[in-house]
Amino acid sequence: MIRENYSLRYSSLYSYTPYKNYANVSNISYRDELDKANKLKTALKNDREIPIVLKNGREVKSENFIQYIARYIKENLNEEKFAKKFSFFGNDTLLIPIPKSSLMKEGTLWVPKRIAQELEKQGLGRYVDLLERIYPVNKSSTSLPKDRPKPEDHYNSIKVKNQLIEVGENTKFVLVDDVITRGSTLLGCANKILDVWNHADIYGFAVFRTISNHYEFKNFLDPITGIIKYRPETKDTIRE
Amino acid sequence: MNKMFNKIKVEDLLGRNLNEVERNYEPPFIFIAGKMEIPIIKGKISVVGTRNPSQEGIKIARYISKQIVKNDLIVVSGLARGIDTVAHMTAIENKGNTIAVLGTPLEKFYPKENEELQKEIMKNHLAVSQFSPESPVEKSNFIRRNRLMALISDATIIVEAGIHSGTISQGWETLRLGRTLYIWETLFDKVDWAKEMEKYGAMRLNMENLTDILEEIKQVSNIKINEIQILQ
Repeated sequence: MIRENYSLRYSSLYSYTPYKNYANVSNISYRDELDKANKLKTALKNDREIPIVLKNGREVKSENFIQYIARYIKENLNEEKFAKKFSFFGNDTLLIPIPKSSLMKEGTLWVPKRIAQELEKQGLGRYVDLLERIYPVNKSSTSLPKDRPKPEDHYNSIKVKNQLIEVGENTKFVLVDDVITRGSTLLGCANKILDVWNHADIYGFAVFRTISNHYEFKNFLDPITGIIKYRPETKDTIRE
Repeated sequence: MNKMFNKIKVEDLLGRNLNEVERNYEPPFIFIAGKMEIPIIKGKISVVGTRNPSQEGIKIARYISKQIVKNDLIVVSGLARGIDTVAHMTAIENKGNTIAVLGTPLEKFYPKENEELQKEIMKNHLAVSQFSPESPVEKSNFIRRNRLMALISDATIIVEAGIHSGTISQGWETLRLGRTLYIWETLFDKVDWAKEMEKYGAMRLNMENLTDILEEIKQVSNIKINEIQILQ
C-alpha cells in the first residue's frame, strides 16, 4: 500500500520541455536551448555518444553521454553547492535502476541500468538489479494526464526480486531513472522497497527533469533537488 | 551489373559509434550501392509488412510513406513484395529518399519482379546488404536483414502483417534496441503478436497521431554533432 505521509527526496541534473509543448509557439528566444535539451534527452534514451568540447575550447571529443554524466557528477562533487544536491551518492549507496513502464526481454536496452552501472564505475555506489515490472503500465510521456499511471499503479506492477542484498545501518537506496516527470514511478518503487526494508533511507535520481511549461525552462544544465509528495485526495503526486 | 560495391561498417553509414546493445548483432560489414551521401544523418523510418497486403493495407502504407517524405525523413524497407514495394515506390514517386535493405547480395534481384525498382534504388537512392557478392541466399538471410533494418532505422512501423509474418522479427528487434515500434491500430484486432508486443512497449499508430509522431522523430532523430556540443 502507498504510505500517505511519505515523501521522497530526489535530485536531477538536466531539464527539458517536451518538443510538442513548444513546437508551435513562436518567438521563443531560447528555442535553441530547448532543442538542445531534447536532443540530449534523445542521446540519453538511445545510449549514444555526444561531442564534448574540451577545456581548451578548440578540441572536441566524443564520449558516451551516460558515461559523461557519471563522470560529470563525480568531478563536481568537490563543489559544495553541487555536492549538497547529490549527497546520497557514496560508498554506502545502492544504485537501483527503475524498471521500464513496459515488460522487457533479456538483452533489451535499459537506460536506467546503464546509468546505474556508469555511476558505479565512478565509485558513486553499487549497482543492484532489485526491481522488476511484472505487468506493463501506460507510458507517462505518451499518455493523456488522466491515463498516466499513478504511484499505486507502479506499486502494484513492480516486485522486489532480490531480498537477500546486504543492507546496513548507513545504506542509502538510490532509485535511478532517466527522466522524472511527476515522480509517480519513483514514489511507487520507494513504497515497494519500504515493504521489505521498513526504515530504508530512499532517494531518487533522474538525469532529466520534465518542465511541461517552456516558460519555466531556464537552461538544460539545471541541477536541482526537491521533494515528491503523495496527494491522497487525488492519489497522484506533487513535485516540489 | 558491377559487382564491386562499397564495403563499409554500420557506424560509417550512421555516422556514429554504436552502443553495446546495438553492437550485439551488428554485421561485420555492409555493402552499399547508390548515390545517397554517407553518413546518413536524416531520420530513417522503416515501413514494413506483409507480402500479400489488402487494398486497405496498401492505402495505409502509401499514406504513411508519403507523410514520412513530407517530413523530410527517409523511408527504409526490405524490397519484398507487397507493403515494402509500396513504401519504396511511394517515396520515389513523391521525390523523397528511400533505402532498401536486402536479404540477398546486391547483385541479385529478389523478387525478380522488383529488378527495375532495385536498379532505380541502387542508382538514385541507396541499397544496403550485409551479404557478400555471390554469397548463397539462405532463409535465415531475411531474419538477419530485418535485424539490420531495425538497427539502421530510428523507428519501425508495421503496417499490415499476418500471424506468421517475417515482419514480427523486426518488431522484436526494434524493441530490443530500445527504438520505438509503431503498429497500425487495426492490426491489434487481427493478430495476437501485436498485443504481446504492446506489453513490451510497442505503440499504436493511427491517422490522428501519425503527424505528431513523425514531426517528433524528425526533430530528435537528426542529432547533428555541432548542435549539441557541451562544455567539459
